[in-house]
Amino acid sequence: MIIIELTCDSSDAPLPQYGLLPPGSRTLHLLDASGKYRDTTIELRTRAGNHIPNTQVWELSRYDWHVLGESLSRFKNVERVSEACPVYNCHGLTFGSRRTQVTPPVASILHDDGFDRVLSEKEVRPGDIVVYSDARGEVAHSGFVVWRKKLELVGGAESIIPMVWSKWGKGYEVIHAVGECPYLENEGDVFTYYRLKRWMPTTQPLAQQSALVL
Amino acid sequence: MDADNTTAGPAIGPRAIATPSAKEAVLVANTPSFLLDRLRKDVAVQYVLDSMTPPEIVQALREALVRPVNDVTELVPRYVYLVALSTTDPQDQDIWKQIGSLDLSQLEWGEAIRRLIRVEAVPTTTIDLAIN
Repeated sequence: MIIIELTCDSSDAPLPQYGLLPPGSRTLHLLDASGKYRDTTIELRTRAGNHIPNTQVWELSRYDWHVLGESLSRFKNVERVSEACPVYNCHGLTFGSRRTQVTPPVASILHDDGFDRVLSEKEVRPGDIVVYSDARGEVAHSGFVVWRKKLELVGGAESIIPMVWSKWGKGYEVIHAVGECPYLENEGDVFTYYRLKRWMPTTQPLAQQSALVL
Repeated sequence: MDADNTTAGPAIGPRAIATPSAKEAVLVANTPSFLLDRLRKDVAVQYVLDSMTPPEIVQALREALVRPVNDVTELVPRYVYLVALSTTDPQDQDIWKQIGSLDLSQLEWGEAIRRLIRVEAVPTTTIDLAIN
């Protein structure tokens, strides 16, 4: 496979603006022999200084990915707040400021950055992080809690539902109820809340505490 | 289902298996394992398994992979074919050799899914016991 790169010699000289040139990049990636754009990676570290594996996917446009979203209308109460974008994923939004796709495992990021679990949903507040895992314990999704929706139940009782801002794969950033998303549809899928409580990471791993089970 | 003559052999075309649910899975997946799990349960994969033999699936995937991806919808059948191969009998060395020889560099998570299905493959050989 042949990959051709054009690099600008002078750091001062402006580069021409091409559609898929990463902002600020000094390197223009051309198509390789298979006609595919080359994925890139950036330097991204946890608060403790450990490298976070990541990939920036430049292939295809946001319109292309939008075409795949026709069936998402089944999530009736979800508010779409961005266009589709393949460059970053949910973890890239949660842990990478939209710069890149962050590759799991995220447990080491949570540990290094100083997150602790929030055990009760009643204690959840805006700014907390929610991490979705499947029955095997593999992390499938993550997002931010942005507000708490108050629901009035029959008989005057009230319930609070955390609303989450997250990015669904290569698709859209959306605001959704914590339980309304594609990552909580199978038996054994769970979600867990985390809060950044510590200024410095500890040397101890996160305590094993029960997650909320669907 | 529409037929697409670009796939030789089986009477099933790539467009037919790019179902809305399969498209959604490819769009919203954050990880290879999520995509594998979602597509395994998808009607598109079930349709492929009902319509094609493992060698036919490998052949269809091989032919798809030599063509450039012109739009994102063309990614979907490639992943559907690949995930359909997760039911391949792990003792069928010939077919696994063919799966291993596929150039999946075109698919961002192709290699990762191939590793997962190889590790998770469960023998499907059955033994019939008769009581006389």
